[in-house]
Amino acid sequence: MNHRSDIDRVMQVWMADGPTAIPDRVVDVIAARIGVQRQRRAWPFPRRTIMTRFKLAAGLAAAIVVAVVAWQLLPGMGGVGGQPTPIPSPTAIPTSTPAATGPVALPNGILSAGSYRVQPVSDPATLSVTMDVPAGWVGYPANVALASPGSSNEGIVIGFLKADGLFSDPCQWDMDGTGAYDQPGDVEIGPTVDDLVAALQANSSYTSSTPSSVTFGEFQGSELELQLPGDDVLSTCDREPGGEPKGLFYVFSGKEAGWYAQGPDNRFRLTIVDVDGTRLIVMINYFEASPQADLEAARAIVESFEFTP
Amino acid sequence: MDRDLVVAAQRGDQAAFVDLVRFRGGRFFAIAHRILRDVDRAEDALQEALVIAWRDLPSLRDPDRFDAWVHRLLTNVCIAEAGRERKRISNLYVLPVDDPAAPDEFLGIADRDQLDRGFQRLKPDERAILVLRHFVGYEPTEIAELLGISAGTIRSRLHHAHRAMRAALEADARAAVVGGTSR
Repeated sequence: MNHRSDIDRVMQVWMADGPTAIPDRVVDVIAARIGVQRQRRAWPFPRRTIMTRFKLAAGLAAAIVVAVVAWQLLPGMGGVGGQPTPIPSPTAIPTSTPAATGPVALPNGILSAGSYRVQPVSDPATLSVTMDVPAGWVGYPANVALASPGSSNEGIVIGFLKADGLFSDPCQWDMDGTGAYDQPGDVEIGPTVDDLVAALQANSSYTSSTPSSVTFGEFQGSELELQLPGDDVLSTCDREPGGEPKGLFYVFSGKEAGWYAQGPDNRFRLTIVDVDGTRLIVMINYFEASPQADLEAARAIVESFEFTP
Repeated sequence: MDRDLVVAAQRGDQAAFVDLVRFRGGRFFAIAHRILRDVDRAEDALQEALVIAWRDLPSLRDPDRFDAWVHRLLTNVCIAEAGRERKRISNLYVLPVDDPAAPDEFLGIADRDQLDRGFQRLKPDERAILVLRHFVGYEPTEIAELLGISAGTIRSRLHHAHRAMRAALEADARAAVVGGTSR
């Protein structure tokens, strides 16, 4: 009976017995199913972290919850033997959120129709944007971004940037060889909206549309669109060490400008606004095949923006 | 070779993904079958996991981690599948078996039957952990990383599962002894 106490060997021998080849009919079914199953776009969100006032408040609240729970679990504090206090865990998968009745901080997950608020940059942290969002869009507060429903390969993302400069060759952005995303670009730009627009138009690595003026209340800006290159160019671009297997194409430089091309033939529809001295870039990131209805919804979201310096 | 297929599939190449399924699917199916002990359910789980894998493949950052990534998806699908109450249907398919079963000198038919019964009594996640440990060959720390559970919890569940399987075998032995003395 000694062999029966060797449970490791028992399990190995027992599990060795059984099918080890995939039946052809299963392969056929899988081939048919992926033929009608779109791949989800993996949004390579900007490589940056913004510690906003909301995040700080959330972190503080979480710390208080943990402290309270720990206190209650101390002997003599009524916690031992009592009902455990649930600690909320972070949500990894977007989930539905309750209907928003007033401007609320952008939550993680699928959004109900309502008014949401974000703090798009860390400096100044007081700058906030309020927007009206239709149901079904997906909030990514950690990236200060919203994605269109479904997030397929033709999905649309609305994001925010603040650029210090540009890369003259957005494909060869890793100028110091470290792979760091926040390297200074080699094109310095002046402080105004017009300075940035002129620099974008002067770059031949992408094509840009004719800019037009926009107004958000008391704040003025410009709109233009960039058509980024295809896979033939992206495949030759500098890569993030240990990260995306594909090359990255960075237009803007700076610590809060880490958006790169989200795929071949990506389009950046840019709204650049001077919000009381802060040059904020709003990006609608989309593709030629993006659903027109989603693109119109994205434009409507941006048009609803109300900026608070 | 497989890495190229993964990268191509990440870019939407369906034929590359089907090739991956052909090349790697046998191992995945074997894992699903060991966890679920049922051909129909293993096929369903494998289909589900691989369609999810196709859908989410662009999010896989390191193509060299494809196998481990699919193991995670597949294990989670199998655990969910095992947790469902489903009418069991007899399997009438002729299964392709690459290697014949090991000679039964080490484990007799009765032993295997007892192991089957003991295994079916385990919780789905304990079954999965046993398979990942003894069939796939993952260390407890790797299983922990795969399933997003602490290594201590994995070791604890592994210990419980081992004890249950050992008890199943010993029950078989006791039954044989009792049967022998009663004659």
